[in-house]
Amino acid sequence: MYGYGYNSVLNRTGVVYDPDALAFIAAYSITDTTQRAAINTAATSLKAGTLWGKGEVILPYVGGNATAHRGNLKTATNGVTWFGGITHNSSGVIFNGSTGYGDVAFSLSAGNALDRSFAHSVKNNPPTQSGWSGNFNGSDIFGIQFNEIGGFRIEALGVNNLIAVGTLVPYGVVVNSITSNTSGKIYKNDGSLIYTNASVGSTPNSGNMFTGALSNSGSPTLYNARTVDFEYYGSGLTALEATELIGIINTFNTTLGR
Amino acid sequence: MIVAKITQQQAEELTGVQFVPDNFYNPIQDKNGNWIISLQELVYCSVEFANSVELIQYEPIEIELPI
Repeated sequence: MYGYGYNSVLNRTGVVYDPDALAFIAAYSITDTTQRAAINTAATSLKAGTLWGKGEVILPYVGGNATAHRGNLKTATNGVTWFGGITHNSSGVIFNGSTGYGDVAFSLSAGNALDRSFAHSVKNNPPTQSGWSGNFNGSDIFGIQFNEIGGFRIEALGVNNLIAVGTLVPYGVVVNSITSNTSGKIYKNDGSLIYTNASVGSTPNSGNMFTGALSNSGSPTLYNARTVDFEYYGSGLTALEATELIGIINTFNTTLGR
Repeated sequence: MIVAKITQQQAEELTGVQFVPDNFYNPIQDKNGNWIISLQELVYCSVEFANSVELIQYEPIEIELPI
């Protein structure tokens, strides 16, 4: 479809861009046409269902530098602040496992304790040490721990309660979602369910989520040495929404050749 | 993993400083109480600074999670 309209903007190549995608592209100086198209497809796909409305911080990690990798697709403003040793390139964000982490502008509170999600698209990056991304308040935890024991695996996870898992998973997207006090779920890259927690913890975490490390009441610890190439933070997702999100993220990364 | 051991004063000087646009230094303490930064951060320090530090093996602080 061509033409100007309330919900679309026609660029010089005739591609109709979603206005939020265009705002992001402009704010973070994305000049590569493949990257622009991927961002546009991601935004329109997220808007095709409920995922755009449920998303609060959507981090596509595109542009190849620390500034562009701060960009929140939902708002075209900064969604994360970077600290320590991190490599930013076309693969995404590569954490070093010792000092590198991101403070994500997605805050946990009593208000979203039973309605929150966290999708993390991850690939391995030597050294293959264990490490977390998430938030821990001394008792409850919302996040995920990866390790390399007999292959890439989720070592532990938190859907408020902390649970040891030790499940081998493919590289790709892991979705961590809470929709009620009896439904904390983890989905892996093929959309299948890894774990269900039917007794979600009642002590709400507070403060921001961290990526590349675990926030221990606001202090980073248990640093992660992984490549992360897309993240989504928002309200709790159903199984269908989680599957849709995984597909959108994988399509985005496949388009970018990563 | 090799990291750069720095002094507490150097850690205080680096905290809050961007070493590339939109990426801040993050000096941390290891399990032995040493202040350290990663080599990715060290390469953006001055030659004089880099020559003043000792390279050591990283030993992270271990915390117990209630699994």
